[in-house]
Amino acid sequence: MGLQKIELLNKEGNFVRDCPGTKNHICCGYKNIDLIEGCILSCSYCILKHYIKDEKIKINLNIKSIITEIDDLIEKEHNHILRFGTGELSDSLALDRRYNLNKPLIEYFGEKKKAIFELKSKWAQIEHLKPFLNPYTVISFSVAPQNIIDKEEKRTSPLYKRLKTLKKAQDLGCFIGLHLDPIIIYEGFEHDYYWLIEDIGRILDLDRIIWISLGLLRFPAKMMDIFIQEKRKNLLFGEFIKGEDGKYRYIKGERIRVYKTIYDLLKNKNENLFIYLCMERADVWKESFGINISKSEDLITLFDNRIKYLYGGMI
Amino acid sequence: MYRKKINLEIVPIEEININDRSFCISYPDFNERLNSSIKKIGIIQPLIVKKQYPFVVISGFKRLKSAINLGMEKLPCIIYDITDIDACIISINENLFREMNLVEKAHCINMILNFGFSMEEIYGIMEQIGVGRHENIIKKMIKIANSEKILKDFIVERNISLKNVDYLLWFEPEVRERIINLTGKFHFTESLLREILQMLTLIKIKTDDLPFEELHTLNNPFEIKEALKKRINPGIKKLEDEFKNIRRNLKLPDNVTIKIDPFFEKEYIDIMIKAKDKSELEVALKSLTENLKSKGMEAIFGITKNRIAE
Repeated sequence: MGLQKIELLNKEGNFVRDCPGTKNHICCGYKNIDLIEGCILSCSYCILKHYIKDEKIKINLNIKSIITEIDDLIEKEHNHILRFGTGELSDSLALDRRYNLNKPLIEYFGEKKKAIFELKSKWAQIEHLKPFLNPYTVISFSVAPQNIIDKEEKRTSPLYKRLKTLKKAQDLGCFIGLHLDPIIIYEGFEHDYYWLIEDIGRILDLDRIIWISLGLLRFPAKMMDIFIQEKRKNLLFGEFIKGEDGKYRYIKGERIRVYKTIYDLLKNKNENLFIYLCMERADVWKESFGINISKSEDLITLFDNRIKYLYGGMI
Repeated sequence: MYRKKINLEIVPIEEININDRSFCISYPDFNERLNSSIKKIGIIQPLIVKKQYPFVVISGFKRLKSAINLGMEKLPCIIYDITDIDACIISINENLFREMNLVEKAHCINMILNFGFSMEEIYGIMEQIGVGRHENIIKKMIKIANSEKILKDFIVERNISLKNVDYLLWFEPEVRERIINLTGKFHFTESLLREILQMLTLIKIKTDDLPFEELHTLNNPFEIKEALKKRINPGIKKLEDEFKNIRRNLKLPDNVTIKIDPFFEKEYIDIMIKAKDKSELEVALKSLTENLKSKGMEAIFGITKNRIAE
């Protein structure tokens, strides 16, 4: 794969948008900051390749405009604690040491003390941010068994580095997030996820994990052909159906079984962990976690409660 | 340019290199109707050949094949003293007046690549022959042009789309041949063929094996589709069987239909009552009310959560 071109932009406005969500699925109400569009990492299952047609990576340098937009949203919101992140259209950290984009945002959220800023990544590099980190920035990593990282997440940091970096962030006073997303069903995956959760429990301070998301592999229909062409045995191992949104996802019974297994493994490590499902149906929530969530608002309230519980009067 | 160097001659067939197909686009290169016509009245339109010894055919491969078939000794030829690039352009233009099939388009692209046309020229010709301008398309076309006869014949005879050819090319030639032999027995719509080919690729990836023995015993493409679906979606198949079973046990009147999401994904079911008067509606509602007390109705809602009673 050749080097990707980077385009630096100085646009005004419209950088923050609600997570698009999926019809009849529960959404957590996350706010995406489109700071960077495109990614230098090379995950085989990445849907960015499908959504972003431009092969260039676009970086918006107009941080001032982004902060104005964020500030406006925070000031207008009176019911919920907003959560923002830059990890939707890119990896939050992969290019950060070179372009220093997160520093002003981290500082802004630290001073504002009214919302949470999440850096979501697979690139274990936070040294350059050390002097600026504060409790209002959550360092999050997507985690997967090393077996999957080796085969499907080329150019990303290995699992041990991700976990070590998360521990470092905890030691620096940050809450951290974990995203077990995508969870991939392949031969022997249960065994690998068991040990992944063992590693999480062994290395991290579980009381200082703000949230853990679980999301089984799902992808737009067009990507099925790509996986077939590339003979992605791991990605194609499970039984897929086409959901209401036209995306492929595992059959519901399998999703429930896997979510329940992982949920139980995590809860056995620490009963207080806040675990949520990314883009799932209400009945999957109920069957896997035993939690009644009938609409997105219910989940957003759970997030508010979680943040209030961890931050007390600090937010 | 080349138009200035033209000669019309009657050329002995041994002076033509009948094996050089460098400028050949036509596929297949034999046409029964043309053959009959030549047999009756001979070759009316001369072949176009390139001036060199032996002559190389630029246009007229079908006529040449018929001439050989009919044992003709001499052929009318227009002889062009031109470069290979110009010969390619003549060959393409000679074929532009008719609708080329996918294999011929592939031959065309393969030919211009072999003769070193620039990318801009290649994209221009792709547009002329009605093929999308994309590097990936070029790669696929090269594969088609260099593929085995059985695949080319299948593409032309069944007018197979590029998407489906792409699936076929994914397999090793010997597996591809077995798939063509299997599917060639039946008439498929493009979408059904696509579904079947996609399922075959998935089974191959998952198990490294294809169930040809079982598939060859089946009587129509829908049976093939069902057999493959059973392997690809065993969970869905189980849910379908369970749903049919429950539905049967509910003993609902004919005017009540229960519909469920085909992928058992949606949380709800649809109950439809067809009634032309009050009494039919009453019968339907009474039956539904009675069934509400049964375990069967509960089981249907369980199925929406992919629960199967043991």
